[in-house]
Amino acid sequence: MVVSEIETVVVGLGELKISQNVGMVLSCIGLGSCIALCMYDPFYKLGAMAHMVLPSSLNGSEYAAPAKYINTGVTNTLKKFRENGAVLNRTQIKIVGGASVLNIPGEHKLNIGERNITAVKQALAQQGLAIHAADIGGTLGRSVNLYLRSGRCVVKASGQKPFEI
Amino acid sequence: MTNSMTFDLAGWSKLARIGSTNAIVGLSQMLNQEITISALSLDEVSLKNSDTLIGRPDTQVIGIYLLFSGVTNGQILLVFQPKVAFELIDMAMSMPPGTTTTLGEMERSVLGEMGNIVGTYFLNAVADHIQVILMPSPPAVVQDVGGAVVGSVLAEAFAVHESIFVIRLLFEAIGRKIEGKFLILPAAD
Repeated sequence: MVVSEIETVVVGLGELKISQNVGMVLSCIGLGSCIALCMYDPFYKLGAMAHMVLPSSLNGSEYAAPAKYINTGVTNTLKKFRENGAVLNRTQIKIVGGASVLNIPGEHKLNIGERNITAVKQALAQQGLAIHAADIGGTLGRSVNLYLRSGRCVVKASGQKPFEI
Repeated sequence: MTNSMTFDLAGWSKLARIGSTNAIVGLSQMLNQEITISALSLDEVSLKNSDTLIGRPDTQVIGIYLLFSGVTNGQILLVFQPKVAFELIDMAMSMPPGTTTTLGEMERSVLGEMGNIVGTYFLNAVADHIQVILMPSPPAVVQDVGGAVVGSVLAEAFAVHESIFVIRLLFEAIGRKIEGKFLILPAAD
């Protein structure tokens, strides 16, 4: 029996990873307010994951990590995905994260998680793309794995059992 | 440094030492236990190398989080492994080691008070030194994986800038294995 090796590639803050290696798992570990955008073309077995930190650039900075901001991160991910031959109308799009982990009492609420959720929904809608599944909001951190052999997207919230979306 | 406050690496370096020393005095007084600084550093951190702050992102931590505002804004985060946070609670409540095993309402309150004291002592020392006012917010106490806690703090810090200054303080109790991480993320001007 041949046991195939699985290579886990961690997608860090602001990073965008794309691959057609079916032995690979793309992984965002410990998402708080950040959003993981997971895309998978089942025909080419092409997967992408972007670990997006903030809704949009406040100062119009052109130099930033490719997925730091959601407004540019979604565009960058779609561009790379198309360049690699993916067809968007059969692509599975899933989003994970956007939690409010740090709830300061009183009027100091940061709301980055909520603003990130709104931003990613808007950015995808502007491209005419539907979200196929999501695990977003709440107060718990999450990790997400995208298995490029099958397109399975498995989420594990802090202290809870993993589940597929 | 003037009241207009240009916060560069050199300026914050001195303030980091003054504030951290006073914060540890506050923590020692609260715990009635001598606490010493084992490492103090000030680094400029970019998004790309920010994983060095998070440590293992899938490990459970307990964080105490405050914002501060005044002549400048910023964030303060104390991070502990859960067993260390529980031992600190036992020390603060004069309970035998091992008594605290979960994070309930009372335990959150004790850690929140710890955050208040450490944060206020830090900010007061800095504010006195440069003759300004810095005000802390109420604390938030959270248990989650390190990536979610530190990542959420970094998201706020990186909202405006591509790199940030981070003061890192490690401390320990004499004769007891207590180690915590104290991050102060001033908003760079």
